[in-house]
Amino acid sequence: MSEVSRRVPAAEWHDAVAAAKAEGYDYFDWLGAVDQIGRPGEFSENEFEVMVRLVDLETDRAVMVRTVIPRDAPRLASIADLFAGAGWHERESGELYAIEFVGGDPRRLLLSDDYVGAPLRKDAVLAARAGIEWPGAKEPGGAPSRRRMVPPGVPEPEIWGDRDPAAGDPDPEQVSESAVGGRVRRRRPSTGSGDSTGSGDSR
Amino acid sequence: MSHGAIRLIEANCTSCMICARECPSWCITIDSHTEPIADLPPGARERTTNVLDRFAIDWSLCMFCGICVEECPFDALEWASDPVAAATRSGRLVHEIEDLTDEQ
Repeated sequence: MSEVSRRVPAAEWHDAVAAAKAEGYDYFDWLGAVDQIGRPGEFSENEFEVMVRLVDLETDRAVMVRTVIPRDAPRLASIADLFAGAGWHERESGELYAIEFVGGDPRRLLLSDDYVGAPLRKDAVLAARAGIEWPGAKEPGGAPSRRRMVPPGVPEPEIWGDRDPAAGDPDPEQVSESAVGGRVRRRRPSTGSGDSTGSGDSR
Repeated sequence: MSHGAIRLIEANCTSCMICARECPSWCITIDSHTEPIADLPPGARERTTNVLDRFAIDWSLCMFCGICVEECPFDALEWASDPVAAATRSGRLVHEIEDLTDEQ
């Protein structure tokens, strides 16, 4: 099956999907979103990518229509009027990333009504894990660890948790770094005082 | 091979902690200590080896993803067919070395 990818501006999202449907891509496969925070280069620093895959069953080809929306104002036109089934996917992506699909169904699909937060955002912290001991913190042989071990999904206390309340909200990008990269990180907080060698934040 | 439980092959385990660190549900606990290697040739410098003291899997936390089986560089973990036996208390679902080497 031939696959093509189209990147469109968020303002043209609905029109682009409608155009693809008119071209014969009239079978809705899925719609999803990706949190692209901390991915400079291909994406600007703070963006969600939303994509929809449409299939043309007649001629056996598929198109992926992609767009990006800012993380701090995540709004996108709903395509549920074009593909009714997309409404379910929009409700799912909408609650998991707190994206508003304008003109879509605002009800939650999977999360309970009293759930607070957007769990698939990369700066969503596994808060219950910050308070319990991570079994992987120990070193082989039981020697005291010289490097600080931080489990995936839990930022360092300086960044999230045990910090000065006057310092304001944690930086979402620093928090999100705990979800990506190596499982065992040796990272100095980038708020360090001008230490140019403190860039060992890769793995 | 059905994925009933995970068996520990104790002789292969080097207490490297990789499985405990990769486990997404934090269900593997490892304790180990170092001992000097006894039968070194004369004149060789002293070296130590890790000795496994405790290897426990909490089956009430395990989600049977098999990442530990995949990640173990020494093939010390493998799938066993028989499912983990039920227990009347969650604490009894923590299986130690002697239970884990016995999983069939």
